[in-house]
Amino acid sequence: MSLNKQLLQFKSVFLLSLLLSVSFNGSAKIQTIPDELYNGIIQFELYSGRYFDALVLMDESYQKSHLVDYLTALQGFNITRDLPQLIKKVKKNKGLNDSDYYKVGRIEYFQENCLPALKAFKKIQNNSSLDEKEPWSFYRANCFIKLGSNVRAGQALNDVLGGIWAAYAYYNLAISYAETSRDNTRALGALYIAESLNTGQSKEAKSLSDRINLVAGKLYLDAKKYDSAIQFFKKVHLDSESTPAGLYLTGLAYLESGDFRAATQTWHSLKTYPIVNQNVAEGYLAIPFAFERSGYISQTIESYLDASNTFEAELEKITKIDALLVKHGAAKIFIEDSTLEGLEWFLAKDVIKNTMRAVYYQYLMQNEALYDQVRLYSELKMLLNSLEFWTSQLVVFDESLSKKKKSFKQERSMFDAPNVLSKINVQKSKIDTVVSQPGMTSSLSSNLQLDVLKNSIEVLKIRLVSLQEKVQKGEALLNKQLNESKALNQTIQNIQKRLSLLISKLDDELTKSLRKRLSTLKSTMISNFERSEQGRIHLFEDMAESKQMKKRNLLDGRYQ
Amino acid sequence: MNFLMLEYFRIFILLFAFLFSIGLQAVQPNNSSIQQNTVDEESLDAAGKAVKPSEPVNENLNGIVNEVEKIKQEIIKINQDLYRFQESLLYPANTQLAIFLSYAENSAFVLDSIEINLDGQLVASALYRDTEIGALKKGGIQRVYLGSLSDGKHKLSIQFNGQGQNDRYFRRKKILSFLKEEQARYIQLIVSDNNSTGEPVFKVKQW
Repeated sequence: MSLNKQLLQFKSVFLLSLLLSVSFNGSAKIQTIPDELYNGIIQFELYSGRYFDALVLMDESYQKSHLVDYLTALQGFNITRDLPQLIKKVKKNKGLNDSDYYKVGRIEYFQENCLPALKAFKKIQNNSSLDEKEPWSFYRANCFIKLGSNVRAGQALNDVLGGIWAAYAYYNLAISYAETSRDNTRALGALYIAESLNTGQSKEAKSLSDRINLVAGKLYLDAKKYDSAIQFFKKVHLDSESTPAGLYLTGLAYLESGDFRAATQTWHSLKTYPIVNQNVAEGYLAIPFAFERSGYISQTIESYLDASNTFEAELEKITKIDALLVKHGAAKIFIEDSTLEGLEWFLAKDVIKNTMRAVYYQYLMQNEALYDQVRLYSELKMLLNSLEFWTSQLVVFDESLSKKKKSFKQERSMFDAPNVLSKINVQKSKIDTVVSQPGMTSSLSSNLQLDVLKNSIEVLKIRLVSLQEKVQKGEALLNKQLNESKALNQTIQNIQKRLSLLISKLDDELTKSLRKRLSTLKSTMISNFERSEQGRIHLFEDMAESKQMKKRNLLDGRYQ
Repeated sequence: MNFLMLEYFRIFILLFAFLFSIGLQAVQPNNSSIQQNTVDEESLDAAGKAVKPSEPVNENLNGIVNEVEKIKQEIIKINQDLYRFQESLLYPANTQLAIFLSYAENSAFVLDSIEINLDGQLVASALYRDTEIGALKKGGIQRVYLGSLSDGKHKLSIQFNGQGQNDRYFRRKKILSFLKEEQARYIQLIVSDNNSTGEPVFKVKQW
């Protein structure tokens, strides 16, 4: 037999043993990877904001050795019950570095504990080395604002050079100045800095810029500087959340400066925006007011009628939506993808076209408590999806393991270890023969890699022994894995049941909360309607009164 | 006459005052509308970049939230068990190949995407968002591929696409031949910059 053939035979035996060994391996844990990689992948999930994935990756020893990271993940995934105790535990640790103190401060900040947050932030020795210097300044400034010290908040922002975080911080500071002081100079100054720091082109930056311009315009309007106010309002983009307020206030500034025509035109443009925004509703009511002040009585009446009809139509919609909520629940109407028959008018998903559902969703989500409830609902749905994924995976694993178990006996009977061993020995003796041939020199032996081959034969023998052990234990291992799969499946089913029940309870609570918010909207809309109707009635009364006055005047004139 | 005039004037004033009050309601940019704007939008900020006003807590909801916290922890635990079980079945330690991606300190390269070919077959690809690039730059390590591999020689080819310094676009390929033996093989790809040219350099570390 040629050397090539011998090598081919050797390869086939080697591959057979490899394939068999793959089938019978014990469990491997992610912790078997080097610590540096293991810690790094957890950090990656944490910094990417995927807290659930980070928590799944963290084993107990990691949780203990990296308690601050564990707390960050718990807080990020809204598991806050044990946070206070764990934070206390962290604080007892004297080996915390600047980054740890920053993370602890951030957790306290999100728990709305401003004083402890500021204390943790204060322990940072060298803030210039912080990766998160901007958010650090932001959190500190916001805490000072919350604690009532605008001066300290301003000082906290002194070191920040730029970026969206700093721009947000100065914006918040401006709002705080505007709320706490009659002098708007400081608020306007803070807004000016916020705008100059907000140089990004992102959607978030654009939205912030709109808010800055809106508030600056409002401050000028309050100071009766109408031209300046209008300049700021005009900078608000037309596709922004701030647009309705911006347009309404622009109209107001025009009105105050005596330009009724421009005011009316501006308010007319508001009509393309959804009426659930109170600024739009105010625009509807302001139009007849401007017409009346200009002396256009018929337009005034028409505008009042238009406003009343619009409010009335919206009231009907609110009543319909409320009835839908009672019938189908909040999830089907507002959160999940629904295709309930006859409800296409409301459930259409096209947000770009400003569908009814999107408009109401946006209005309802402005309430923070509702927003939190919807977020909780989404989290639970995500968890349910993850369990459903695992259920389907376990079905596949179960089938595969059952098949393996069935074919195992047959495969084991085919696996003839003594025969494989004798083949290996035959190969070994052939290699020995080749080595002992008279023409064999050390360079030829090296070229043919005979040493490597001999070594591989020894490795094969060792593997064969280990494979025999694995084959013996194989059935027990398969049974163990099958049992584990069943146990996991059972646990998943139990949790799924509890989770579904929780989701249903949350849906009920959410429905109640949404109906409450809708009822507030309804009251506002009724009030808008009444204001419009009263305006119309008073106008008629005024007209009747003035006619009577005219009549009396004529009579007076006749008899004088 | 004077009395009547006075009476009309009084009615006129009253009417005007009433209408003006309605008008004021309509036009007064009630502080609340601006106020609402700022507070509501802040609360919508997912990054939590605003001071949150406290809300009264509904008792039922409180109960649900507590139960949710418990169940979340149970689901985390079961996910850990399931991942371990899956790994033991599909990627046993001695056949395991895992590929990781990380950034060297201060690397300016912004990765757009990565494609990994193993022995000529595309086995993994990823697109990167800003948050993920940020996470890598802060020291995070991404596991981009996990699979099983037979012992022997293999060829890994990795395509990096992204932007380097001065917004220059780069498309670089890194090829690595390696020997898989009877234990798990971990390969770490490290994105760094060449100090002199400023061009991206892709290093490989084998564990």
